[in-house]
Amino acid sequence: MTLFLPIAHMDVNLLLILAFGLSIGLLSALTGVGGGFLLTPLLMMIGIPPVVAVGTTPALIAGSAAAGSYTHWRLGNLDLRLGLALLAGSLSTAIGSIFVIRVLQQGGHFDTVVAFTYIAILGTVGTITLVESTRSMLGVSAAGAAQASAAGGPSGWLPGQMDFKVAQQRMSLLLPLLLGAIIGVLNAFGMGGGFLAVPAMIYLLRVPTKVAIGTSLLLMVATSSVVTVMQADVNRAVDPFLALTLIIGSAAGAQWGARLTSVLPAERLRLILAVILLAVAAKFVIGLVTTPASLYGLAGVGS
Amino acid sequence: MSTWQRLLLGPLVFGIGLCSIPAHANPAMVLAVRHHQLGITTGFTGVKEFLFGNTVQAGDIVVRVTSTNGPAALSRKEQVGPFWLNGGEVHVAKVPQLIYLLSNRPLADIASRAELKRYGLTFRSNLASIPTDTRLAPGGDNLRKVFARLKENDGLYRKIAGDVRIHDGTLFSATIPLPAAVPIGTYRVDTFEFRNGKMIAQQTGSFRVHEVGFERWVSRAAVHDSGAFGVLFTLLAVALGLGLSVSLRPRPRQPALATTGGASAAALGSARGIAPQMPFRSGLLKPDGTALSSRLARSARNCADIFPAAGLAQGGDIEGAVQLMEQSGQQKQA
Repeated sequence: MTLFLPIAHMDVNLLLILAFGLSIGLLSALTGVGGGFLLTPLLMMIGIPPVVAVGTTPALIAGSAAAGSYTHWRLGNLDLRLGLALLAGSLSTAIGSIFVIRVLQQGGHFDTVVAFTYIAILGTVGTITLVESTRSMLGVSAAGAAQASAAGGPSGWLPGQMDFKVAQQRMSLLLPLLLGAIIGVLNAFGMGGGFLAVPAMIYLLRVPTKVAIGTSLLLMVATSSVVTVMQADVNRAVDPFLALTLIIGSAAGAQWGARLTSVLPAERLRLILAVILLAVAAKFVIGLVTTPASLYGLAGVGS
Repeated sequence: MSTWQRLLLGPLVFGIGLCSIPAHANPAMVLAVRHHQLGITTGFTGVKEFLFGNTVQAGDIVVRVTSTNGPAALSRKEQVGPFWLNGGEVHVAKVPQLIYLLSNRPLADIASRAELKRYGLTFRSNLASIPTDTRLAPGGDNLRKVFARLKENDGLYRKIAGDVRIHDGTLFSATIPLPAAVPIGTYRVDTFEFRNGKMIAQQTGSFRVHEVGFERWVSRAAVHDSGAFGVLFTLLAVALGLGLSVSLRPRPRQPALATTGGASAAALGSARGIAPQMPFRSGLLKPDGTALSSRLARSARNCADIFPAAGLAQGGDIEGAVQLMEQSGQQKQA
């Protein structure tokens, strides 16, 4: 079963791509982590050009987060004002990042920047998850940690104080703008960003959990959609066949995972996730540190 | 080759070949390509092109297949601290994206290197646009040689000895095994006949590789109307994601919780354990499914109030709970 990808201009095994989508969907259903940051490295490992891998992942995120955000919108778990503030931040940096990617790609530094970004993000998230899941397996309550970090809270001295009704918070507009800005960069680099947006909203902005998740999903759909449109237009980096195959696989994986969640213990799943994250980060480190077999390489030339 | 084969192949070669002979060409050789157009479809894994030819006298045949020239870049890695990073790139404006050198026996046995070079029958003789300035290659490497080696690794530059078959002295045929990553464009086929190491006849043909059907439509849209393509494709992706999550929704005997969303914070919380105790009854829903959403919303919020300290993944469970309730609603309706 072969699929010829028009943008990556290569043939791939259709079943392998479906399996990738399935694993990402399964992972996101089991652990609640989106998985965009795992998909991009996986695609690069099978020879998809990094710029196409990074450009196509947001299409999958847009597709898979759409279902979740629709559910939360129906439930009323959505602070539209907070969402718009986050979105304003994320869109400005995401759109900027698309042009940065273009410049990096033309200068030949894109792969290096991607490698370092992924090492930093995957290493950090992997370590936090590892520590947290080990602690909860050992019986230490996560609630204690939550209260400790919530003590900081949003500061009242910042300008632009505003009421967010659904989120039941009054905070400076600058906080969601700043958080959105960070998410925007992550999203443009193919990492989604929901894994950071949700804990940041809960612990730093003190938004109720359900509202944080609902608002984050809306942020993911909107940001990923704009990033996909921009990547397709500016960098021609979105491979439609690749993205649709991944969305189909991931939808199936999410449903399969949904049946497994009641059977598998959550702590162990998150421990496995932590190990996967750290392994991918380690692979990037090894790739950067080992002496290359050939000092030279053929670099992609944008059309 | 038997007589009947010769009788069959000869006129065929002349028949096709005569049509495509340029006015200036040497009539000592006739050449025909089997397919003038090769199409890339959605299941494309590469394609074979066939050549047929006829010469006046027996000799060695060398076929050079070259793609249209395109830009290329050669990057060089440098060690910065413990890391190997991209140290710089050499950009070349025009270089063949594919070069195949096919022959009936190893090129070194057919003619001297100088003679082969003269007719562009080595890789490097086709790479004149790559600078040989050693400042670009600190190790003193020959960039043309490096480039050809990398292209050989990718299977886009190849030497295939024995791929040209000579049938009965003056008739020959060749198979060109083009890979899946074959660049799109017009290909030039130059055929040379050598006798005792000297070139005695030459002929040129061509064929085109292009995308066809759906593949062509998609690829043209993505390149030429990239803005409209981006918008429409993103809408399609979102619609597909939504549609699949609704249509694939399982109806298990044992209700399960799910997060269909791309992101939540279950990584930092633990609420999966509460699943069996969730107080949902399908009785919360009207059998006909009306007023489903408001009822769903209310009962899910109640649920969240019942489990206030469930941890970060609580929201994910609410989402799952909705699915659960919808499933039981669907089951009841069905």
